[in-house]
Amino acid sequence: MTTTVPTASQLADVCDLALRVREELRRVLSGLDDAIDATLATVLAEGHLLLEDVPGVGKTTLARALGRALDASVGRIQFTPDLLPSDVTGVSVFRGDEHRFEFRPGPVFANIVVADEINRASPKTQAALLESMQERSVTVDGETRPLPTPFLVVATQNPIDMEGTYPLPEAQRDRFMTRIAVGYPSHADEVAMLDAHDGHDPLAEVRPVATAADLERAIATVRGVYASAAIKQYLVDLARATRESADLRLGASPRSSLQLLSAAKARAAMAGRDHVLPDDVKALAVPVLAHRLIPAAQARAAGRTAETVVTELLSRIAVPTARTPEPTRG
Amino acid sequence: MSGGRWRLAATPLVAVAVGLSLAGLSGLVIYGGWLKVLAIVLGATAAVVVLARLTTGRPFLPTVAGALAGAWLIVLAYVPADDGGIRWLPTGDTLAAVRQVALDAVGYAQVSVAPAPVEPELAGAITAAVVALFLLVDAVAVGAGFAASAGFLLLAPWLPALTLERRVPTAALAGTLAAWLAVIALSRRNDRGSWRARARDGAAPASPPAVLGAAVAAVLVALLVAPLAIGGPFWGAMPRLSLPASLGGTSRLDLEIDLRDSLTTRSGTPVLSYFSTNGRVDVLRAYSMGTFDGSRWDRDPEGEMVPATGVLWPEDLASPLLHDPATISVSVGDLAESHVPVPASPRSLAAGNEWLYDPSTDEVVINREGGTRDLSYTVREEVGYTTEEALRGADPLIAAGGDRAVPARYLDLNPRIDIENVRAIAQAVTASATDRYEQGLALQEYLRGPSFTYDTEAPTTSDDMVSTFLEQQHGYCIHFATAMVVMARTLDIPARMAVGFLGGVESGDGFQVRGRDAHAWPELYFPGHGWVRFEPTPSVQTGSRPAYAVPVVQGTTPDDTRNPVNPTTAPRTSRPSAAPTTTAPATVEDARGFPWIPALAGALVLAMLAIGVARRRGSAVAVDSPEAAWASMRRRLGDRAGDDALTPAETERAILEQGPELSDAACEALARLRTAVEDQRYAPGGSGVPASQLAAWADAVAEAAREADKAAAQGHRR
Repeated sequence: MTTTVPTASQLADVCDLALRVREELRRVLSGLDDAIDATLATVLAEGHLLLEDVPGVGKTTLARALGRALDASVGRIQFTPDLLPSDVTGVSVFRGDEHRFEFRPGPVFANIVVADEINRASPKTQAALLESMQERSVTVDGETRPLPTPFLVVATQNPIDMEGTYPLPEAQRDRFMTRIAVGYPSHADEVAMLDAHDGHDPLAEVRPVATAADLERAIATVRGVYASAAIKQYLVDLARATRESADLRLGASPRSSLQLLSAAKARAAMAGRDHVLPDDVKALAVPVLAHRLIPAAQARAAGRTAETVVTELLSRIAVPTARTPEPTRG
Repeated sequence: MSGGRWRLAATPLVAVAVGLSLAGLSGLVIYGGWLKVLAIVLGATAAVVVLARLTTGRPFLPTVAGALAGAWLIVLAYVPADDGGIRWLPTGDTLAAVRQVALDAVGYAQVSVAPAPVEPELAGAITAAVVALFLLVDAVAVGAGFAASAGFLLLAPWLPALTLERRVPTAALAGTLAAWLAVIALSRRNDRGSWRARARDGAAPASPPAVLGAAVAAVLVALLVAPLAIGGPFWGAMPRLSLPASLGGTSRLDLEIDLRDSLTTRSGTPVLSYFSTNGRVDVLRAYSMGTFDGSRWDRDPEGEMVPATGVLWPEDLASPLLHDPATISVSVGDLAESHVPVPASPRSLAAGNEWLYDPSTDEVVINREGGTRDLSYTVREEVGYTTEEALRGADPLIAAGGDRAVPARYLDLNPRIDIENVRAIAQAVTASATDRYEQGLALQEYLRGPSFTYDTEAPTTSDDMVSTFLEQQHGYCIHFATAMVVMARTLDIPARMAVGFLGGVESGDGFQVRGRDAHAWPELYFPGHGWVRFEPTPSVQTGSRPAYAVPVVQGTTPDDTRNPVNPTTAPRTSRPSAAPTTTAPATVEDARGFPWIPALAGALVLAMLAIGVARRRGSAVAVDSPEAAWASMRRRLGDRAGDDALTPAETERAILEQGPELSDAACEALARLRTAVEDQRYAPGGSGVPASQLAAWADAVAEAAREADKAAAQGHRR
């Protein structure tokens, strides 16, 4: 590892960036602070975000507002059953004047890709997007083209029991760092929302407050955030507990531990800290882990979801205290 | 009470439990002033353990400190310097002195019989054992936290009472149980895991009154049920349930005394009970035996009977009145004898015409249907009639042929006995004796010595059971008594055997004599004084020697008396301080003035030093890291601080949200301490906050929470 612990000014930059973006997002979405924070942590941890909830609670608005606030290139794909993979990745067209094929990049070639209602597209098209998410490059006609950095997919989907949907398989859900259930706003927040939308589109008022370059720097800073051996131990304890829980048919993968660590680092940096606290892990454990876990049949029958199981595990697993000696970092 | 503070309260409770356990020795030793010294040594040791526990978090270091302090105090109190002074500091020869005292204690324990007066050496040994037991129980119950298991160790002092069926004070037993239960309760009260688990399951922790009630109920149930579980209603301290006495018809003393038989049954059936104004009587005597044919005893021929009214004794007393009479009221149960059991000294009997006395055999006969069965009578005994002085005073009369006053059969030796061999042994044993008293004592001590063992199996059958017994050196009371009678006769001392009962066991206000207390003993004749009982049967069976027949204990264990050239006894004049009496034994302080004031001053200085160290190190040791400060604060806040699954920030929130509001300063201290512990645990550089600051923050929060709780409770009450 060559990363060094970020300096105070680097952390202040991240903190500031997060604050500005959060302010912009709040303009359009009142009362969704947890979702906004989780979204920002995902962005800073180079993850992809899956917003899941019933239609009309602001998933797409959040995704679009994020794109605008970051002043980065935004690609938007409305997934439909007849969408083709090439509609996502782009196609080569023949330029008769120049006697050659020219590649027309698809909407995936953007810093932020808003994939609306991803579970409405056919599995084949879903797979095209998900592959590009994993590889961070697109291969068309034998030529591999890298995607821009930072690259962030914000997908939204309706709960799987809605009509006309192709649910994402577990392996593909695993590609998303976080899944956030937006949820209905509170009474007051809903009134505030009506006020904000009264007569004008608040989305239009969202100003770009950070550039792609800012974001890239912040991401680099987040990578350097320090996670003590105790925190890593805690992550492993948690992952193992999900695997051993009788309530879960499928536990957390090692990849999920890695992603939870990254997300926790981002949250720490957003708070101006150079080190991860167990609180970061706890705050992000449900968004990062829950969508990868499959509850056992009896747990489902008892009305328990993956979220409740993870919450229970968090309230049971002892927070690490031992400060074990670190190997010399350099 | 939270955290480790319960240990500070538990250690004194352990000391109390161990101290009260000494009651288990009741009946074995005579309590006296030595108990005070023991209590002080035990208390000081407990104090050192508590203080050490204040200063260190290590579980067993206090035990080591307590052991050192206890050892020093014991040496101080019981191991005198060569000049008789105090051994303030251990020197090179301390070990040898300790060894000598220990050997003395062993020697004394070997020759003493229950209930034994406690000589300083024995007191030292008992104190050492009690302190060791205390340290062991404390280490297990408090150090290691296995309070319940430590009960097995606390049982140890009660084992003699259990096995010997002795009565123990119920209050002491209850006190020990209560102290032990309190230690368990304290240890459980602070077992975070279990209480938390129960709280999680929805059950509220028990209230202190409920805990107290449960402890009292447990003690009561233990006192009532334990004896039934252990050994039935006859056990130790419990109220005895008497079984119907006449289940097996009447009982009789077996007068077919044949040394070739082994003892078969030893009945526990009570045969008589008595109340005495002077405590337990040595023996109750019924029959005399004078004729021995080598293996069998025959009853003495009946002499001239006189009415048993007035003072009974064959010798002419200077005054017919008893100077120091003890009144003994006897109630006979189902014992149907023609001869009435009476004490062995001059006595007077309140009796009717059917009572007869035979001066030649010293027997009291009752002429009525059923003999002594269901008989009640009162007999008065001259206390202290027989003394060493009186016995030595018989010497001129012996020289003047005083022995001729007794029938010749008391000097008869049957030719079946290897008289020369027995005489050789007897002469060797009594080689250093200067008079008849010392001869008797020497014979008694030779037979009580370690080379002879009490055994209900008889030696190999032969026509000369005395020689066989002297060779094989094991047997029961009849063998010991017979051997002494025959040996005495070979030395021309008139001797006979008496048959009756030992003094029995304490029962209610008085004493109870059971079938197994049946006994035989030799009596030697001292002209001008009368027949004097000696007790050659080992103490395991007979208890103590007669008061006038206790030899002086030398500093070492008795010599191996297998070699009769080295008899065990010595002139009694060598150490008058140990002269046994029937009154209370010399206390330890009397024997060796214990330096109370310097010792107490030393202990005080030690305690202040320890407290000073504890104060100084209290913060440094207990709170030397943010983690320790955090743990200390959480311990003191108890449930309010949540459990181990909470992060420091969550813990802080829990503290702020639960319970009464804290002051701003406390909130700030809490936040700073939380940051410090987070940094310490999770930040790359750790925390650089000084320990004193950490301790101050932890104290501030804990104090504020306590104050707030108190204020809230008062407000609630109003």
